[in-house]
Amino acid sequence: MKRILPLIIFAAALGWSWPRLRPLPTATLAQIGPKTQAVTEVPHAELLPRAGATAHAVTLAQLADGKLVAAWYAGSREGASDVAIFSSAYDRGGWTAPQLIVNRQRVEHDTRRLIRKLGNPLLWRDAHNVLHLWFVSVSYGGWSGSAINHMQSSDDGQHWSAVTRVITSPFFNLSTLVRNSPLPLADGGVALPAYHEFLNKRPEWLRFDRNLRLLDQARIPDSAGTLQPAAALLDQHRVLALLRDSTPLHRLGAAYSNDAGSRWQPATVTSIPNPDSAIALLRLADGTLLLACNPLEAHRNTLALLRSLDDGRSWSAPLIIEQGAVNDEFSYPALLQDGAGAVHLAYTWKRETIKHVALSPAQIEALR
Amino acid sequence: MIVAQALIVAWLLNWLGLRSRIAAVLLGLLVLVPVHGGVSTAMALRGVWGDPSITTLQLLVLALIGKTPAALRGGRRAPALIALLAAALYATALGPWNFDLYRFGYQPAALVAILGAIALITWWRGQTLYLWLLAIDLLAWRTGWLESANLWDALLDPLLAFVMLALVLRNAYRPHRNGSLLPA
Repeated sequence: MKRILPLIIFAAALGWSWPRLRPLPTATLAQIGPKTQAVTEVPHAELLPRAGATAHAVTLAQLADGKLVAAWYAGSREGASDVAIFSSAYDRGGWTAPQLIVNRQRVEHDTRRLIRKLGNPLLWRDAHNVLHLWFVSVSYGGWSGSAINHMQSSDDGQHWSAVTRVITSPFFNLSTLVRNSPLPLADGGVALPAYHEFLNKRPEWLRFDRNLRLLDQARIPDSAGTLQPAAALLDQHRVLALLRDSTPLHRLGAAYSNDAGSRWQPATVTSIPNPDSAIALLRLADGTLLLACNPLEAHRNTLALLRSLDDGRSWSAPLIIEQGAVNDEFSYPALLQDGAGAVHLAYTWKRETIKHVALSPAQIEALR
Repeated sequence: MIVAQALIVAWLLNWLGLRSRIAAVLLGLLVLVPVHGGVSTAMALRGVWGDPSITTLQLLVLALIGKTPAALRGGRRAPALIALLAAALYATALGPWNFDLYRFGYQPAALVAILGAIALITWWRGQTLYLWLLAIDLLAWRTGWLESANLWDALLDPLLAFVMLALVLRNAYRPHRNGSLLPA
């Protein structure tokens, strides 16, 4: 019996695990439409209230009632232990005072780990109006030591669930980060573009089920040196990811998938300059693509919008949104289109605060 | 799983010369006590290396009850196999290549087939350890008890890989001694 017992236990474990051992069904992409309300009059430009000496990495979402909500991290400086993640909603013509969502101490408490700093938040509203927040945290070292965390709110951000850790790497869970919006899947799951920084930079594609259990983790061939994939669905199955470039080429990368991100075609180099800075990509209601980026080989002092009418194969001339002195920084854009067709762009403004710009459908339509 | 850090510390204390395993476990539990700003030593350690794998937990418990498997006490083959598997996993997971062994841990039919075959062969030859380890790893993974949904994280972790590598070197250079890096 002593010899047979492990065999019986193994057989039982195998039988019980069988449903999770089998290959995944192919993912299909879904689209969550914007809320019907117009968020604001357009055109519109406004600095958000400050939550700290510095602010960075804004992300946008629309609440269940149609209001626009932004989240970003703010504190004494990037990487400082007092940096926390704040949110603000656009309400009756102005942005509300920043509300703390999560700080380092809360993450320590919930994840039962020492945490040194927080970074890159990512807000997203799912089809059931649950607001999700992913963000990165670091226990030791720099950003390449980051891990992803998740919280969610069922009441438009009034209350948030406990922080949970997402495990994406077998080596001390180093180093996966998020920046750009996920894509919903037809089965209720979500595909989350992410990236790796430790030893080398490369994009990753995470697929979660409806309970946010991680199901798969794909790579984009020939994408070494790129990061922060910004993804847009082209149809039920096809995805385009544009890639921030950290190589000497200083050109955005691009990659396509024909099966919702399970497998990717090798990355290629576009003609769009990139000074190793974050981008945002959005599929508009009319099926065209909108890209926000710093269209330069160096510096982040110019922020522009470009539009593609052919699934990202070619891009319009840039519409310049900000242009400053060499040391000015207008970076880390986030994009959202509301139900009235207005496009909302938020970005880091001189590392001091976040700026919100709203453009009319006609301004976007003019980008050809 | 924060308590796993206490087991790691207890094992380390025992390895470093604290002969009483009960004392080592009791002292190990002290790392769970918050020391600064609500942060315990266990939380600081968990921030460094995360949770150990289920394999490590099993081996820690065996070591702390004085039942370290003979294959690890004096052998080279078993620790070498585990260390090599870990090296391949970490090289592909961290490298810039298009191939990633870690991906096979999400729907791990192929991984379980290979490891199951090895465990069954060794079981057939009279060594039940690997089948026990794999069966319990698989059960723990299926319960969803771990933070990770990837079977690799139930099977291996970098601390285990490091200890296995140390055992390979120690057992290679001291093949005739019965001492062990793992407490007997």
